[in-house]
Amino acid sequence: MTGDHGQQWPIDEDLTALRERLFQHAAQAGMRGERLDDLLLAVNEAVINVLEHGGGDGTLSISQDDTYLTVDVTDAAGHLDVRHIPRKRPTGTVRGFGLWLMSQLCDEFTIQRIAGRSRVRLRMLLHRSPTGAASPDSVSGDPGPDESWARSEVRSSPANGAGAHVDITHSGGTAPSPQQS
Amino acid sequence: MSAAVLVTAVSDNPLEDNPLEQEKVSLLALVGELDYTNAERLQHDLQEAIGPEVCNLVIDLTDLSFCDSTGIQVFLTIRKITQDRGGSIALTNLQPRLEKLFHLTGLAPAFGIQPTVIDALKVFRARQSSS
Repeated sequence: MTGDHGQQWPIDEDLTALRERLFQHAAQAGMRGERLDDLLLAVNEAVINVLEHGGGDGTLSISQDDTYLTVDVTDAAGHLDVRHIPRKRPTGTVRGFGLWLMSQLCDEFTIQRIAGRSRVRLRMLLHRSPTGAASPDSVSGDPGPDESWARSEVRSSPANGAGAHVDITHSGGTAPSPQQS
Repeated sequence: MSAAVLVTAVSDNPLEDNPLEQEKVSLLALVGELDYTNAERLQHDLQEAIGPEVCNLVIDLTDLSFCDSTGIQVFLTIRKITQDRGGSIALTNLQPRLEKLFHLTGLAPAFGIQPTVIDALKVFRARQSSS
């Protein structure tokens, strides 16, 4: 997915350069402060997943429209899917922290498996109204071709990102059990 | 790969009375960005810095400008080492983005997070004088 200002590059172990590049792009899109920090950490976690569990081979792409800055992190392994997202904060283990953080830090977090690849999509609203939601006229538009995929969607609560609640809906596959049995 | 996080042992006691050895506390400061690519290196360097005996540890994070979930694992490992020796760990001077990370993972209480090194040393001192 590349929009008017889309960029894509392969993932490698230079995470400092990746964060710097992402910082520049998000700052140009108008993001600042804590929300920019949140996006950097969330994307960093998605990229770690590719390096650690996704075969190390993947791509990162950034695009923006009037509503969202969108970062897609795609791996070639395709193991990750929506059932891996913890619905509660992981305790007693550090596994799952990355996915948990992504779900808490971004306005929208989805995982889709497409043709043997897993794609993590992290989105931040570019212009939040005082209630934290996008203004009605800015959320219209083409929902995109991906709506039929199983998706887990996470939106921040109005107050702030730290208080985000997880709202998971599934439009495909079977509902996951908490234990992922 | 990200540049290694620098580990510095601080010998001056900010409380300015007893030497740190007398407090039975070691003070370390970290500088850099901690992520998946340099976490293993930092864990090695931290274990080297605390050696076989240190049990109470204060880590000043004033200049740690980034930390991810693998960085948290390093701190958990070091915490386990100090606990096994009957001591504990305190992290101080966290930048807002690190505070948020510890808050979201629910680990803030486990790390005895304190605003400043002096606060952390006072906590250790109070604990030692009461035991």
